[in-house]
Amino acid sequence: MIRKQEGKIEIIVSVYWILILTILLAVFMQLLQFQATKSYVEDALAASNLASAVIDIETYGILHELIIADPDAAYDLYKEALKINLDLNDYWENTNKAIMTGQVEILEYVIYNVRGEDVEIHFFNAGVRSSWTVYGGLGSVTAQEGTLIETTSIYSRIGFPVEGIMGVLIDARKENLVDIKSE
Amino acid sequence: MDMLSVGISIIALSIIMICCLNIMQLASGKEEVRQLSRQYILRMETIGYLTAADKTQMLHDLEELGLEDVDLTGTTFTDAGYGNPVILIIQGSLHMQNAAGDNLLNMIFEQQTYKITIKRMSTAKN
Repeated sequence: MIRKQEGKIEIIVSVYWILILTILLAVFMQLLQFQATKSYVEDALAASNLASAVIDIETYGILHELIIADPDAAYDLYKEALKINLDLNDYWENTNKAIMTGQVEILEYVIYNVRGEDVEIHFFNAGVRSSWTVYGGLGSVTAQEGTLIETTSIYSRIGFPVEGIMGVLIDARKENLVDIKSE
Repeated sequence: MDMLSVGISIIALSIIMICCLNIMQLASGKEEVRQLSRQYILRMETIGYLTAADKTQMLHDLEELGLEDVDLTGTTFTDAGYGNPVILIIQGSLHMQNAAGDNLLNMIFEQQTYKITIKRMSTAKN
């Protein structure tokens, strides 16, 4: 009778350890997945910002200023690049649900054109552009994430849901700023 | 009974560990291919397309990473011109060594090739 009970306890302890280890491994794998998603999105975001950084050659030739002359064309290029670099379908969803569970949304896309001491800002929110200039703003204007604007730059921020452990949905946000410098 | 429960525990833990190792190995292999594609899209951005020499070198590098049956359909092979999109698409089968080595458990995880697709887009700055 005592031997039978000892056997039962051993099975329970074994199952307990297997469960604990499985949970720990699941958490570890989830962290690895989050890390992979973070790296994947950061990389794609930087690449898409750079893809949209098409400077006006004429202005550069005449004034030696790096200017993104057509903000709307730059935004279109950014969207096209983001879609390819993040491998999104026509609904702006990644085919790999482990990376991104739902639709990717462009929250902000901002072009900072530095013209002499002035900073010309083109701000896209939900695809709608607002433009203004901060006269004498060089050295004081900062990007959305706090970086001081010193040269023509592009900032973007996207949002997307990620599924965590037990199906919990996390609203993830990622941002990136690239600055353009002449060699 | 004691040996049975210990044996089952060891087998169960081994299966879980092997699964995790295989997933990690696949993720690592895919990440290496992705980093390589990043290097080549930057070159394409500078030159305006994937040159024949770069293509040969890239295929060699991909082979070293274990990528087989490489297909570059959709990649920009001619000069795109300043400001126009340059695209790099790498499709292939990633050949992975089974993390568990040669033993009976390999029978459960015998599939060692995984189809992957890497897409990159930038604009020509040449």
